[in-house]
Amino acid sequence: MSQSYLSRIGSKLFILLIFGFITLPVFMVIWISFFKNQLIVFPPKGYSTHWYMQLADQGNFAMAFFFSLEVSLLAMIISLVLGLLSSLAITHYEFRGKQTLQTFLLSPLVVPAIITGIAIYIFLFKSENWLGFNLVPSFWSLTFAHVIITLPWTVRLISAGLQGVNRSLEEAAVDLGASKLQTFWYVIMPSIRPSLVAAGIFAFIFSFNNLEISLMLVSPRQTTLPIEILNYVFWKVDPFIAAVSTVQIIVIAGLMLIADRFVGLSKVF
Amino acid sequence: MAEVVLNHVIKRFGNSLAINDLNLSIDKGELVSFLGPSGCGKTTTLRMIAGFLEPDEGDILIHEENVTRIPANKRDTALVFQNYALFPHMTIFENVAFGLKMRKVSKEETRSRVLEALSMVQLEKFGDRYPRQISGGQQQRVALARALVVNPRLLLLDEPLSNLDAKLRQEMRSEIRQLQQRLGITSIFVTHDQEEALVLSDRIVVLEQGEIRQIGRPQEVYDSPQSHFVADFVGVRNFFNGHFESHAFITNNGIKIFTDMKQKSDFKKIGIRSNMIVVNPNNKEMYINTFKVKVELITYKGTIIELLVLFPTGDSIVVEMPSEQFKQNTFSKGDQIDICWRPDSVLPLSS
Repeated sequence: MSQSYLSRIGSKLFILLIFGFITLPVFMVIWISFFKNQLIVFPPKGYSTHWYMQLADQGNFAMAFFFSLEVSLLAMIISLVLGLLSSLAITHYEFRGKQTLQTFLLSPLVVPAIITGIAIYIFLFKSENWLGFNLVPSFWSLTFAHVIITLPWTVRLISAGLQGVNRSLEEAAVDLGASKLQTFWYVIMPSIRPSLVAAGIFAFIFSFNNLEISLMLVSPRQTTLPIEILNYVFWKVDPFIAAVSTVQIIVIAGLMLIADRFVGLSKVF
Repeated sequence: MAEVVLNHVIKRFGNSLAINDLNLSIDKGELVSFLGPSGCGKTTTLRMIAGFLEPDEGDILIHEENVTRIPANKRDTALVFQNYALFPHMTIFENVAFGLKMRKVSKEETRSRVLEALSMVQLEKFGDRYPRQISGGQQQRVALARALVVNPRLLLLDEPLSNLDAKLRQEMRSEIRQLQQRLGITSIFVTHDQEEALVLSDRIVVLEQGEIRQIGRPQEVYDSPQSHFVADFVGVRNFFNGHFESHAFITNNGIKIFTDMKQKSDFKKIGIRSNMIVVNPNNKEMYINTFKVKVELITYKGTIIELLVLFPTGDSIVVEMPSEQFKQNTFSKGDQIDICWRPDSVLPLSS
């Protein structure tokens, strides 16, 4: 009896250790953001919230934050719509080049982001010469690039969701007189809501955290939050940057909680 | 008047012929079963009638209207799926109301018709539940109510009872039959279970490899199957190959079996039901066919005892005898017994 008790304690401890290992950096960042020191030194001399006070003064961080938010939300919406449409085509129809299309849609996952970024940059730059007006840097080309890297996630998750919908449900709807559109709206949509939410979250987070592709496409006056952070740590590393990161973590965690309220994240992943 | 007509229907999947020149006509209010093993084309035919598959050739008529090219949602048919296909995110009420909603029926009318349909299947109290909160048998009844509530011209049932346990299956069987007769709705019932088909149907269509092997009332199909395949499917277990010499059949091993065949025939096969064979009767002569055989195996099956017996020629057949009779007339493995059957129990079969 004591043996099984010990082994149960042991396995719980092990799980706790793994969990701690994964989340430790996050808690470190939050902890450091409250350090009083000008430089990150252990142990801290004391604690304060003055790095958070500075957030308000550093206007460029706030601007970058809202710019990122704008790009990511728009990229998420476009990527969800395109992802849904292509997933419907892939799961519901047989056509020539279907396999190729699927591979093509997922390919940004395989190529290193920095390569994709450079490729998109060169493409836009060449197009600029050809068209005769500026494409880089612009809000739209940045959003377009973010759609490219988030599309694999929405396609993957939504088509997985669609594959899980029993085809006889759709047939039952049609049999009872529903049109294709009505079947989609009343039967398919409610069934894939969890995968749509998951796809949205993934798309948003990948866009919001992206550094490599944005790096090529932003202007000095309009940068995303990750780039603003990178710029800052080039010059100095202090707890301020931890405060910025903490805010970012809270935003994303908040989004997850909202999503959980709507669909229950355990159903999503 | 024929309510449903299939006219030279052909369906191919790639290079293989799924349905080969099917002709069938179903009368109004009739319940017809499609009986056959998996892959015989029974579900394919049903799906063509429902509108989910388009035949490559031939026409399908419902109520004298050619519906061959009409999509499923515009046909006046309702299908009960094998897995019920209830919408999991809708309540039972919403599930049943779905067809009416698509037909733009008013709220009040929908409400009364749904409640009526639910009470028809004794589920009026379950409207607020979700499909996962009710049992398999109840889900089955919801599926039935959902199909019936739209007053379809034709009710299609695709092996609707195959996911239920034996006892429930029997209950649902008679429930479906009663409902169907009360509403007088023309129905097609797909099944691979001969007993189900025999109990439920007005007529049975036996299918094999995309072709109709036999059509008839349950008793006709049961009592006089025309081919080896059909006989096998309706439970005939003993077959002999051979030829007819006037009214007697001579098996390839030389066993002479008397039949009631009136004229010369060239059937090359006969079948005999296990339960038509009598063991050690007092009045042997009455049966005309009498054989001395050796008991090879005795299997107890509750109400009946199943015997595997061996002819001196080496042929073996299966004999069923009531357990009660076995108690009074015991013998054991290896014993010699008399088995008898009447000439009219012999079923001439085409192969």
